[in-house]
Amino acid sequence: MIVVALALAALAAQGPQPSGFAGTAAGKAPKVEIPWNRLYDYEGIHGLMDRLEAAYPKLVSHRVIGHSVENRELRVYTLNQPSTGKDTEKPAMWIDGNVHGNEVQGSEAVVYTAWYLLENYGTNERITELVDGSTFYFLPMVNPDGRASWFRDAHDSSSSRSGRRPIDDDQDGVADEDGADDLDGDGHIGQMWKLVPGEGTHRRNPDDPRIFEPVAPNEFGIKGDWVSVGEEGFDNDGDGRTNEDDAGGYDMNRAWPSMWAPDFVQYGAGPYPLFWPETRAIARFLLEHPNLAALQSFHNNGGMILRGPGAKDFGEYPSEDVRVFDAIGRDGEKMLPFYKYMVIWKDLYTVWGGFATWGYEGLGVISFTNEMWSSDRLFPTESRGDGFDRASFQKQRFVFNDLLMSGDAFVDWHPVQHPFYGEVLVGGFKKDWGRVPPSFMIEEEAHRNALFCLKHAAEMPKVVLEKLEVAPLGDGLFAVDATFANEHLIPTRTERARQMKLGLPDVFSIRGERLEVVAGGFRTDRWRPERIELAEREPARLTSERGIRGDGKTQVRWLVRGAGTFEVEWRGEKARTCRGDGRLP
Amino acid sequence: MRTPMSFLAIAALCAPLAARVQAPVVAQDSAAVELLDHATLTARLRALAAAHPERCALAPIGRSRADRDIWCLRVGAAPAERARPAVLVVANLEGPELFSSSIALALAERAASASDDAAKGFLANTTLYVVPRLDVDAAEARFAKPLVEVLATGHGIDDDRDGRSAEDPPSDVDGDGLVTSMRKLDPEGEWIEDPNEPRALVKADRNKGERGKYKLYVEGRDLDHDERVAEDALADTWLNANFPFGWKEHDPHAGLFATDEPGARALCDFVLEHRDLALVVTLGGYDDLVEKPKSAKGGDGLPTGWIEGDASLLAELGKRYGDATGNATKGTRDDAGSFQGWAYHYRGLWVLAGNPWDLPLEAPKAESAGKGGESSAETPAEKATEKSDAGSGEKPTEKSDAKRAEEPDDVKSAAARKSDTKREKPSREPSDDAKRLQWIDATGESSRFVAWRKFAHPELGEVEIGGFAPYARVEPPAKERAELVRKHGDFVLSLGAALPRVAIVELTAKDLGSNVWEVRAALENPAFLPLSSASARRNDAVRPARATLELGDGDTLLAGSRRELVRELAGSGGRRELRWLVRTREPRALSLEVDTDNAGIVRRNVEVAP
Repeated sequence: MIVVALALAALAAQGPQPSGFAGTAAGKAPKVEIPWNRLYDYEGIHGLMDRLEAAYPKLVSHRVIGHSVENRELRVYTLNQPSTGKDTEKPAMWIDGNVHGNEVQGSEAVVYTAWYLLENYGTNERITELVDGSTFYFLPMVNPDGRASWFRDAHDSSSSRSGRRPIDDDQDGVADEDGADDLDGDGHIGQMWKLVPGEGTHRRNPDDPRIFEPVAPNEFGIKGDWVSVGEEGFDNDGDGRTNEDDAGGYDMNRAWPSMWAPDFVQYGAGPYPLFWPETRAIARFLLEHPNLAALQSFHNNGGMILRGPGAKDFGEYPSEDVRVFDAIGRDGEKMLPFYKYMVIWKDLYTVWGGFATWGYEGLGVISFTNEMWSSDRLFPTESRGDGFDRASFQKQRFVFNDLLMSGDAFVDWHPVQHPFYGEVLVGGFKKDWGRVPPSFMIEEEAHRNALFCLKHAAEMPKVVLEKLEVAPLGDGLFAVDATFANEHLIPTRTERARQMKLGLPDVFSIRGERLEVVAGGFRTDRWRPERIELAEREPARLTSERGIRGDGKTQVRWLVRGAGTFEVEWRGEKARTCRGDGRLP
Repeated sequence: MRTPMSFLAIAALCAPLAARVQAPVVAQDSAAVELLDHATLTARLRALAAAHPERCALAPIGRSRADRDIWCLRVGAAPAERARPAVLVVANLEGPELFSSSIALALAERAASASDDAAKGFLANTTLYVVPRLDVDAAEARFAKPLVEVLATGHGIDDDRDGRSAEDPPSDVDGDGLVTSMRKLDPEGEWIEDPNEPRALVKADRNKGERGKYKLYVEGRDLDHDERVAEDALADTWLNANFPFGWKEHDPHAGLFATDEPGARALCDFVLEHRDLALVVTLGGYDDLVEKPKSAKGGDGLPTGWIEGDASLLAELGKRYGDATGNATKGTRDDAGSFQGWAYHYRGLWVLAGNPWDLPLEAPKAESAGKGGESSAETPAEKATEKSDAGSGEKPTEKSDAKRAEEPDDVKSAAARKSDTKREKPSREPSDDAKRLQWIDATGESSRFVAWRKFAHPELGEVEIGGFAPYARVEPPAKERAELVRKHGDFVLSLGAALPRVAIVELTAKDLGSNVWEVRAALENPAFLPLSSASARRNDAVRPARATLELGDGDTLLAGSRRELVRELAGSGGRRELRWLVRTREPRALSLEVDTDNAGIVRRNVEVAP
């Protein structure tokens, strides 16, 4: 008993026990226990973030930046250590998820990132340094209405992608009147097959009747017995078409201002950029935060680390910035098995008005979109083959479902009385299968993606004064040489920001009470101090559109007269201000 | 799009002899058309709506950055009759185009009072919406002192990228009440006097051995001492460059993103909320009626021009515009970032854009030319000068007149100048500005140009200040205004007859026996314009006409669809036939209703008697 008391006293003397858990397996329990083997609905996600805010009130705060179409809150949670400065004075990373309502696990990845940072702050040296030097803005759900519906209503893995503003998809004067229908009431929208003996296109696989497979033309003239009659539902509006006007009908990742194109060029853009209130609120927030230095958005699925441009017309990104994208993207490939680092238009498809493209083109920020989860991870060794065999992939899913899911992923075909077709078979994979990992793999998926974010965040610019030297030149004149270095990979101003004049230039300044600045400029040759891009005016306040390159340095030389102490300063939008003091002899 | 330099050149290159030459007093005839500030415009609209409540409704479509209402007056049937086609008139989409507001207001007044046959005919089956002034903030500059022509009104940027915003705007350096231009002799300058007309400046052509002589600036100081003059004004975004079509990202005048400006977004939302709109008339610097816009085949890529079929119809409407107004004024800008581009290319509305007036490049024919120096009583420069003279003691009239008299060159008569320039053949064709000056001289509209006068600039040293007066290029002479207003009104009111209308021209039921009837209907559009433009169909912006056959209880449809969607119906008699097989056992009237977004709702019955 005494021993325990002594131990407690010792602990108290050291300050409170750090709560953080360690990444290793036998580490401490986290302060906020979150089951990571499941997905959370709209309220659930905010509930998790609120618990983090309550547990770490100094570090986390949130504000509502706007509301969705159905009036749900768009909450941005700020993670900032106020004792090291205001959030707006540090380089910031924006992380969001779930712009497509059905692409749900992005929100869990966002929450996981916040949780991981908080739980490791104060105990893990690297995380502590990262948090002390940066700001994180988390928006777990860009499309809370789509998410809410996906959890609440019957869906398949691909529906509820849109937001919930009614759109008259079939142009008959009534909006959203013919969506899918959950005929069997199981909460999932499946597929429907109709038995038409001898007149069909498909047959049931004799080894596994869960699989409908096409019957190829054959010498015996044998036809299939089954035809697909579409996804579960009926013709609600009596126009002869089924499920052609479901809720919403647009794509909030086609709504961003850079390279925006209208609906007829690309589905879902809306009548003008940022038409959907969710997108406009986010754009306003980001435009009001010039300290934004990194941007990440989570989607599903396919295992991709995507960067812009979204369309070929843009041309290539400048090579200085491609170098940064490549370095982070390649690290991502190491961290995320089966993920590929890709350029959107070149390696995926053309996206006009995509978020990541705007992040770079409109804001000048290194931006990525991850398509989370690759089904290659179901049987990682088997699926490494070169060719993609649709039939074997089909079978593989059923094998996984049988062996590792106890059959939970699939609703077996069962007869349902359809109001138009009569008896049909309804069934198929559930909505929370295919595009999201099975529950036991969610944590790993979230962790790998979160750490990819932190890798990106750790490369946000950090400026230090590497050298400050004063050399007398005679006749009362002195040369002040200052070398400012950016210790991280992302430049203080991306090349695109320089080209397009996004944000404001960096400012290198010198001031002292008894200092007279005769001339000043950027040195262009490290060996020859007289090679200076001389400032035209205001030599004490030099501006630079180029900023300081990633892992690079900028040398400034001022010619001064006078005496006493002086201060040199680097100031930019996307890194903490850096100052140093000197004295004239 | 206009470049900042050309705007500067326009605003700058020319200004007032007027103060020196006492303008003859022109009787204010009752038809004189004034330019209205926001308060007056608002009052006039309110009065109009109050006077004709049965026909008018006034409501703002939004509020500007400076919190002014952007008004829209609806004239016509009650909203319940929404399916009648509507014409939207938008004027003053950018600050300086104030005269177009006056045209739009006069049109609204004419329609609201339904005082003539044209107005009555239009309103019989068509709705009129008038947004007389979109750029409500920038237009107010027209009534401020000093007078400066303001095009930019929206989101401002740090133009000179020095970390300070709006610290070095244009200003009235010489205190004459006008912000014009400054030219300074400078070996690095790229401007020279036009050899045909020394008041006008042209760029020196090094390929012809010409060496630049002047640097040209907008009138202003170098308040931030960065050796650049008036380079960082408060506002930068041009309202009519802030729409999504062809939006020029990164252009300083385009705004942060398309529809960032409240006025741009409000107008887009208004269009989206009014499915009855079939056609838009805009009045201002953009034209597609006099000069045909580029046309292109349709397709699913970004538009490169009007879709060919639509372009042909537009050309005919352009011809009608010319016939109705006699106006051949070309546009002064392209459609990048414009409302007009968005409305046609992305909403499929017929967009008829007229530029009512631009300072002509040809002097009027001898008989109408400058009758005894009949200078307009309301030319902008003069008015402002009077105001500033009266307004403060800082700059007494005598002093400014004395200063102006120092330059005898500028008081030479137009004829004398002409003979001067005749002496030797100029080395190049007269520039547009030289031609504009000829028009000014010939018409006596002398206050539109401020003679260059030496001035000791606090930062630049010796400069000359002068050039075209603010608004000189966009405001027609007082005596031309009434006619422009009337003829543009005539043209807009003539458009009602061109708008698509759906008619059921045939509805028959043929007895096939066994209580089965073959019902045939023919729909027709007798009007000039088709049911929808090709662009509207490409954008799914106008819903198809919905032809619904209403059956009675117990009737069955053996063939056909209860509701047929009709996407296309050409103009000038375009037809579409529909067929149904109906079984009915009772004698009854079968009813066909055709419901459209903007071509009317029609209904017709056919009797069947088994």
